[in-house]
Amino acid sequence: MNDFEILQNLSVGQYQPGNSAVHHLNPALKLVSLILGMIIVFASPLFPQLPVFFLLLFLTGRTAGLSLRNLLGGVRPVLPFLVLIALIQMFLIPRDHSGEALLQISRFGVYPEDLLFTARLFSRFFCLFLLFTLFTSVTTVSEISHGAELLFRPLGGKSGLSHDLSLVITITFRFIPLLALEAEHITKAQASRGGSFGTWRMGLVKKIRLYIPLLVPLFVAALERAEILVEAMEARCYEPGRERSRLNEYPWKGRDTAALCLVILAFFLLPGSRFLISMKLFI
Amino acid sequence: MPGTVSVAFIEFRNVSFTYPGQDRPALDRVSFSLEEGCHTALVGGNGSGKSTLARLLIGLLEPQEGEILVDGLDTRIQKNHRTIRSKAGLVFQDPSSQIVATVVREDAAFGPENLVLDSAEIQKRVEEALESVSISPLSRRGTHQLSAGQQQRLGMAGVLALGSRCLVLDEAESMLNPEGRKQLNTLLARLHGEGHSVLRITHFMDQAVCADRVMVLNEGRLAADGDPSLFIREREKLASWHLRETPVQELCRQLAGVFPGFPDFLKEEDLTAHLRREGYTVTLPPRLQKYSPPDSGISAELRGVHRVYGKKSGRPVTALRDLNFSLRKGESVSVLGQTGSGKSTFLQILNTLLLPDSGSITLLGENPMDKKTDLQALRSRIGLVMQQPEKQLFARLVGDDVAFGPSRMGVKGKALSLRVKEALDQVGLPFDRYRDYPVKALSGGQKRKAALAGILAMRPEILLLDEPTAGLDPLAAESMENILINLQKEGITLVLVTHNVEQALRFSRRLAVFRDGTILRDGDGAVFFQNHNPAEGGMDYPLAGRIAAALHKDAGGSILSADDLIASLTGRREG
Repeated sequence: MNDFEILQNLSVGQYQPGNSAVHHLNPALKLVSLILGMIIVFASPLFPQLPVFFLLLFLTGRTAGLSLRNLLGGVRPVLPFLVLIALIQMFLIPRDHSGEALLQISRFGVYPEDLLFTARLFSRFFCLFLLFTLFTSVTTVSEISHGAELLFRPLGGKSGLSHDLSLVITITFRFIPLLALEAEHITKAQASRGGSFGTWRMGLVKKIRLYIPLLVPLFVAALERAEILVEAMEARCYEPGRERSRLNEYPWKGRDTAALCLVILAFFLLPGSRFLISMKLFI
Repeated sequence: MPGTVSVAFIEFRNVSFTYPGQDRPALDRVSFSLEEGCHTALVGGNGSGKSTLARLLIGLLEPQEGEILVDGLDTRIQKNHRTIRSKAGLVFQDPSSQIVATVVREDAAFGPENLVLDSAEIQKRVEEALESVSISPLSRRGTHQLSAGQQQRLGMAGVLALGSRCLVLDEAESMLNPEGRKQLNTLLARLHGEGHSVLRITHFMDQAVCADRVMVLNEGRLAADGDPSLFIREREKLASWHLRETPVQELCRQLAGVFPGFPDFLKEEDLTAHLRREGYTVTLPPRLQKYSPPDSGISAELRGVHRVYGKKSGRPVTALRDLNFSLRKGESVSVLGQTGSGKSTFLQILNTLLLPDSGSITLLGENPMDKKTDLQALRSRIGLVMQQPEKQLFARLVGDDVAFGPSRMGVKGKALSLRVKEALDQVGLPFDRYRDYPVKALSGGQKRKAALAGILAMRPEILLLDEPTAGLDPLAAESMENILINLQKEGITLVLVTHNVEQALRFSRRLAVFRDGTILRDGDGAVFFQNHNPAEGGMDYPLAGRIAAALHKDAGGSILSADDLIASLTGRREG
């Protein structure tokens, strides 16, 4: 009980301040790398590409001064779900089995295909998780929004669309702690007036049922805050769709080109290598 | 422009404004002009049109009648807005809602970015602005990690970074504690000294009288305009404007009852100067009558209570440490202390919203740490009125909202409506009129009363209050205080958290002063002020004590109220 500290329990990727080369890469490049990295994870076969990719991410993290421990620290709360999914997939989803079962427990059998599948699930998950925390650890919110602005620029830079989109990203992140605090206030107020938040006997279903009526006041609070925010933004000369400038400029540097080349190389080599390897196998 | 008369910096000409769907105008034919470099205070009750005026001034709203000129530019013309807003900046009431970015320096940069300045210029302006509101060391912090006072200063930095020479503050101090307010005052005084114009909307009369000029808005009309001494000349009208005298003015009036012809003053320093000039002296009173708690059973008892926040995160914060406290039935205690000293956590522990990590706790004879205890039932016996409780009203009609608590307790039918009636009557909102009244149509002060009624309807044995009068206009605050004092007389056990020493003493002689997560002093307020420097709890002597201290260096701690002061003051005519 006493789980009112909603902000504390949020496990959003946290920026880790640093001064490494990885931190100083162009934000647009970081965003592109994130997207390409995701494609690599999904398009690569299991072995040896995913472990190699994991290693590459690990090395990049090292360059940024981040240990594997603090990069994967946030994975723990998700693990039980992952295991559950793996179990369901292994035992309850029918699959074509070519060989003998490796292990038979009553009517559930474990086949090589199942193991391969689970291994793939876990490696993909860990690669993705590492990719995301690495990205959020070295990129501030304003860099993300700036990067998005650069990438969206071809879509209508003149009309200020890209500026507005990047602002949307900033404000979204700004609202996370606000909403968490607001939710904390509302639950506490309801609890102190006889709502049953934070009492001893609380099943999962009851918990979910409790949180649904919370959404309405939370929504109202968010809208009220948004209204004030709009006024505050306008009071500071913001006009939607108008050109804005930036506190920090991120000029494209030599090292960005180098990093981009590496990312593109990995992008083609890792998923592409499946064909190279399979060809060799057939020869 | 040679040869022409200098134009006022801000000029309202016969301005009227009505919100859509409302039949009464929020502002009604208001005219005034402000010169550059002046410090003006705008006062008035909740809903008198002050915030509307501020929004009209920078063109967020457009007047339906009349015109507004800022530095000669008409606010109705869209393309003037950028120039107007970079000349006159608005700082809002809610410190956190006006922050756009997630990092301090990026938020300060938001305005200049909109002016499409180049990045070197923006950086220069941001640095200067953060420097001038003294939060440069925090420039790379997350904005949500700042205290309310710091957030409000960041709001001002954002305006200054635009190059603004005029600050409009819309009750900017109402959500700050005395420390934050003091810092804001110092900062404003400095900026005004450097030539900035300040238009300050405020509920604090003692702050309003520090301005060069005061304007009073009442129901959308400009009711008075002049230098602060108008509060003395038009004293009888103050109540009809939803205002009160400043505390000093009130004290002067009480003194006039004993010393006939005692003049009125608005500011503390004027009063003390007068007392000194006229040769008044203070004789130390005999030791005040000792405070003794009522001789009744124990209502709440905390022993060795410890509470840490954020245990799972990397940075745990100890909110309470080794706290011992006990409260008798029918007793009242005022809780004082700086922000972050643990007062709110303390209240939430008393309401079992939070439970201690270690230590023992007994509330109304029950042990909330025992998993068999029905916390829901226990909480309804200990009513907690949170800060700004009106924000938590969620039903559409007043009656329904008040009924929420008791109906959760299982009270039904006639008994339920009786409870609602009783609670609404207690807070001075007649049941017949307000039962089916929409919550949205209540004024600020009425909303807070309704929120209090929602707690009272559960018939709590202990009432916990977190700054019950913060943010209310002076008249509403007074009426709230009277309601609470009546409840106290009826015998309710009361724990009141406040930042206001005078208020604390009005409720109880027993003070609990918090510092660093524990109770530094607990007991008779008179003993505390006699033996300790109140600064150790981040406070000051009460007003009467401060005045006495100016006349006699040891008197500060012995004099707690106006009556004490009057009793110990000797005028020249007697001496």
